[in-house]
Amino acid sequence: MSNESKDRERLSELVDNLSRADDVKLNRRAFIKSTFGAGIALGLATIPFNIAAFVRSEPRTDRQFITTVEALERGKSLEFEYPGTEPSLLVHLKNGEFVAYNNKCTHLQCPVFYVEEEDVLLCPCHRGYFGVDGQPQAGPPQRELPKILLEIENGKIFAVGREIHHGA
Amino acid sequence: MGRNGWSLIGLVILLATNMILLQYTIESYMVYNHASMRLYMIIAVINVGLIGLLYRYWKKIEYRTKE
Repeated sequence: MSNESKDRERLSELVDNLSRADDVKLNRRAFIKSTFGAGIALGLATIPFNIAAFVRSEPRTDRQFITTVEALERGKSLEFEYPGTEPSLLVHLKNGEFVAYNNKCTHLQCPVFYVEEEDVLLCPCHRGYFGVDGQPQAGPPQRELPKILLEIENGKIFAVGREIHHGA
Repeated sequence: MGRNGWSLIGLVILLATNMILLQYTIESYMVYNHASMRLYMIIAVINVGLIGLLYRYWKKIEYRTKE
């Protein structure tokens, strides 16, 4: 058998398992039409989230005791739940100030931790950095962490509300 | 580039915009930011309308008979 006929035979083996009907379905026009469909589907997918947001109620932001000033040393943090069961983080900064934020990363909701050495809040999932003012500094997150409003009374720290947007 | 090419560029831009708007909507949903969600939804729905118009335009060009 000549080399040419061997090659032809090998090629025919390669195309035997292809379905011509399937190939026809995956043409350029079908692909472009699917892309139009995908664009419409992505746009309409925002509607169910708005309906769900309309139906659900925001958790109550009542005054809630967190801890005492003495219990949390400078440079340390404490996890608590506020409002409702939402995870939050109270941080005693090195300058003596207390700050608290919801500690779900605004990128993909991973928990955010306080890193004392760098004085930042870090999301370890994708290395998202937030400053101690809650603003995103580096990595994928684009939004600030929701701020928990605090009140200190007689050495006791209370959460009294929440601000989603709290500026730079 | 012809009209067909421009319409496809438009499609890619609208598709990418809707993808980002959906991500922003989900992020806002997680933090109870309802005002932003509404805004993103309105823009996304307008984009859907534009995609529909673009589709009709593209079809007209794509399936026209050449003289």
